[in-house]
Amino acid sequence: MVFTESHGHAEPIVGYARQWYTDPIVGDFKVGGGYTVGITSRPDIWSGVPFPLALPVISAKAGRFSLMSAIVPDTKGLRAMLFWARVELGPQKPQ
Amino acid sequence: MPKIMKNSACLAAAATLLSLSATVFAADASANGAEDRSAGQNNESAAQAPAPIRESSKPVAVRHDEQRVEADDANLRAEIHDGQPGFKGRVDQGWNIAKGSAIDVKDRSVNAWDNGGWDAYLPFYSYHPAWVYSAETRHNFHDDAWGAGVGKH
Repeated sequence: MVFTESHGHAEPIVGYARQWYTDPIVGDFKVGGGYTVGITSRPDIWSGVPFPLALPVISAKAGRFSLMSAIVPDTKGLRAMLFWARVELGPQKPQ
Repeated sequence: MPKIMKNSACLAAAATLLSLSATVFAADASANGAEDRSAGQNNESAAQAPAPIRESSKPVAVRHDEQRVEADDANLRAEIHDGQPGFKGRVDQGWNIAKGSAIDVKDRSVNAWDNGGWDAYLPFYSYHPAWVYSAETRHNFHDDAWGAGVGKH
């Protein structure tokens, strides 16, 4: 995934994420939490040298669509949150 | 709290996965060892040191230094003390957990890559808390985090 980071530069990130979801709350709507581990690169950190990261991820899911957010912690509690939408393509897996 | 029953894994892009796990363990703090160490470094306080554990003709400082070494060695052994593993045992446990987690991530990633369906990702927003950044800094930030990505689940 590539996104625009806070300073307007493109930030690539590759890695793995895992989510654990609740039972459906309303219809097929469920919420989840988990983590991601990966590698990213930012011009303002180590002059763009790729570095590993591990972040908590929360999500809300309904059918094929999910709204996900990676939480960047800070000594003050929260440094930033990145939100993205996820769409599962192709045939649906049995739930 | 609803019961957790479903889990899914997604693999972002065709990248080699690195799972970095760090497990931090608090070493067995040996208060006696610390006391012995301070006593062993200062001959003047030898008179206030606790009674020697065993008969020995060696100076008190040397005996205490030997006791400190023995205490450190005991902590490094993986022997069971009061039902708890020693320091080395805890390191072994942590290593096994990290290794198992890495294998689990690798297996799930390979399975998702070989058998999983495709995902599309659309990043769109980044939030910067007002209690962390000044208004000017937040004004200069780009909250629109537009981008794109693909993955497998």
